Amino acid sequence: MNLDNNEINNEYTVEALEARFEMEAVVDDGGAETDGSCECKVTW
Amino acid sequence: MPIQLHSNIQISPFISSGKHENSQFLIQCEHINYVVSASVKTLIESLISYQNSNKSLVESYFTTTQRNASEADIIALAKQYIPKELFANVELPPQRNPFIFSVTLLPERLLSHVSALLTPLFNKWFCLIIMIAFIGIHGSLLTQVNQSAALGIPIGAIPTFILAMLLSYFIHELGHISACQRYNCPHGGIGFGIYLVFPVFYADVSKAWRLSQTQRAVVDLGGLYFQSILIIAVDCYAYFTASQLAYVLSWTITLTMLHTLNPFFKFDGYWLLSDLSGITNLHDKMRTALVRVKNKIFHRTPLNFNQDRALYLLIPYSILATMFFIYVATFLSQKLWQTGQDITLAFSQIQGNSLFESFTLMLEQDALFPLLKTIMWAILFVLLLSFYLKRIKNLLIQGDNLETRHK
Repeated sequence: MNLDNNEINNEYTVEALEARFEMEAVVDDGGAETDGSCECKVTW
Repeated sequence: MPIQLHSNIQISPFISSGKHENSQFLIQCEHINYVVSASVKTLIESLISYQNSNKSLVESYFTTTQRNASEADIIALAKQYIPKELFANVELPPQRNPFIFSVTLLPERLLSHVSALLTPLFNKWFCLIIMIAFIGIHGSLLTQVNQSAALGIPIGAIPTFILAMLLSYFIHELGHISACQRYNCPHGGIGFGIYLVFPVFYADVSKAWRLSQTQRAVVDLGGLYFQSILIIAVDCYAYFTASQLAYVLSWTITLTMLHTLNPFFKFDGYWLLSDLSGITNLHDKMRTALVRVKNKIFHRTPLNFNQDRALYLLIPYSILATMFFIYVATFLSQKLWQTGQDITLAFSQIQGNSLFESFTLMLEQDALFPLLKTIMWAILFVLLLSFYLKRIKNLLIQGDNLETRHK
């Protein structure tokens, strides 16, 4: 059995799958100003 | 026994668009997942059959594959094509995750009780009602939400705002977990981590690879779906009480929902695109697609779309991702230049004074806090910029040397 044969290589395929972590980035409030102007910016 | 695999290997069909049924199989062993061809699957099955019966390796191989081979050939074939992690004499590596740092906040055993109660929310008629309500309510209030959010919230409301946002992140992750539970798929916990440079909340749904493409897409959308339910409640509260905090919350949650659809990072949009297209390991394949585009441009190597139909998606995706990273890197460079000028200006104004005098002067002029804030932004911009430049370099320069895991 020739293990280096291209045909065999195409027949025997293996692919490692990445770990699935469903993520959601934290969106900060950008820091609310303290001057009473009630500003609250949204940034990331 | 000349060769032995781990005892807890699970084999199931891996259905992916563009592939024939029963042409790909999922091999799962603890947290390790592989997609293999039918030949590798039958090879693994023959080894498992050999371990669980009194037959010889040659007999087991023949029974499973209907092929004759010597024991030495079967062992050589197994060693060449079966991932080494599946062999019993190899210790399973720790689970790889994409985080610089991570901590599990809620383990699976706690979550499974809660998620089991929430699975009825995935009833298709209920989903339809929620979607119509979301589009109707949030759509009609969106302009008002946007205008009110621009006014901001009082400083005293910030702790409530932060707590509400934390609840929103938790509800989002719970949506992914509950979707897994809906399909009786085991799931991991919910945690907090640092992904690249982003603080993130995450749900470990690695076992979801065993689900069908559509079911995986439902798991991907589960987070947004649960947040849609939250937004309907927040919008109704905002409408009836005219609460400024509720309007800001509604707007911020909307932005986080849009942000998570970004397909260029491993947020929900990435997994959704991967699952709907049937292309696994999108990030790895993005680099190889760019190499093929480069070879086409510089060496006139044909792209062969007919042989690899995934290129129809991979090439535009890879080009858009590269443009996105370059755009963000340019934006960050401009911001870094501006903050650098601000810092230089601030230091030039205090030149000639001693450290203590400069400190007192800045305190008197209320300039110390803005300067520290500017320096913090500059550090953040440097970190982000270095990340994006590294990303662009990986995509455009190091792609040639990339060793893909796809054989």
